[in-house]
Amino acid sequence: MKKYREAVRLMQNKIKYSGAVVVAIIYISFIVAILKVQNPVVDVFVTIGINIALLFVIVNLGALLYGIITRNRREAN
Amino acid sequence: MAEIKRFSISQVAIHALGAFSILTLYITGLPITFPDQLGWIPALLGGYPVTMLLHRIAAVGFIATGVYLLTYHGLYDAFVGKSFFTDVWLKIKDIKDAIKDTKHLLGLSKDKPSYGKYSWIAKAEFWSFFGEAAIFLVTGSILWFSWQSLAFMPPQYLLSARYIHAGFAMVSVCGVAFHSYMVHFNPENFRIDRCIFTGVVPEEEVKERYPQWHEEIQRGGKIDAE
Repeated sequence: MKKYREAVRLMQNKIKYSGAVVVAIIYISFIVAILKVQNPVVDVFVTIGINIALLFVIVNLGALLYGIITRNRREAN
Repeated sequence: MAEIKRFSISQVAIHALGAFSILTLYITGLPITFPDQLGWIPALLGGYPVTMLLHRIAAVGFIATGVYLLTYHGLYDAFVGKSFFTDVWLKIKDIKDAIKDTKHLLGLSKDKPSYGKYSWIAKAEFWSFFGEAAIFLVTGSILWFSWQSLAFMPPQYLLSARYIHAGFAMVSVCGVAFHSYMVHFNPENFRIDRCIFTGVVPEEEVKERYPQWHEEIQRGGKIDAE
């Protein structure tokens, strides 16, 4: 258990900034999409950003379902 | 370890319905706004008619969430007593907390705001949900019942409604991305903050993160507002 907690703590430090970067990419790609910048490189960035946004939403849906399904796990233990 | 009840069963259930609806709305709605980038989603779901049908079913769930929150908590507040609405109502302290928090995050001050049951961020998120819901309800209804809408408005209004609907959807996704960051990626909560599912929080956490609420509980205040 201690080992697991240590691993989670290390992961927390790593994820802190990568999570913020993911959110920033989503924000920027939406802004660029609204501005309709005509550039092939920008197009690739927008495509990646919007797909990340959608995957982010799908992951959240998964987290929501996980939370609902495992809601009573603690009580069962 | 002692635990404190933070959310009632009805709050847990309505969060689940609202979150499920809004996430489904994004999955089915974003490909309509960005068909070039997200065309694979409708292809996976069985085409645009199926995607639109799912979008409308999810919209009904989203509207039901808003109607439930307004009627149940509104009536509870009016006739029974302190409801969830009383807890999340914006106060002058929240503006002060927002300024204090911003200063702290920018490194201009060492003082962190002392939160009650709901922080200014939680309250702002909750009320922005209502603002967005109202806009989506109006613009979405115009688009859903487009032929009927044309009977009493010019066609360009429909186009405006479409742009407003899509624009606010993007703002809303950004809001949800922020919310997800706070409940998943934030080191304090990583990997997932489970209190919205279990309804309870360890007392130690309450003491650390919501000191004013903890003081209120210690003084014998009501802790499980409906």
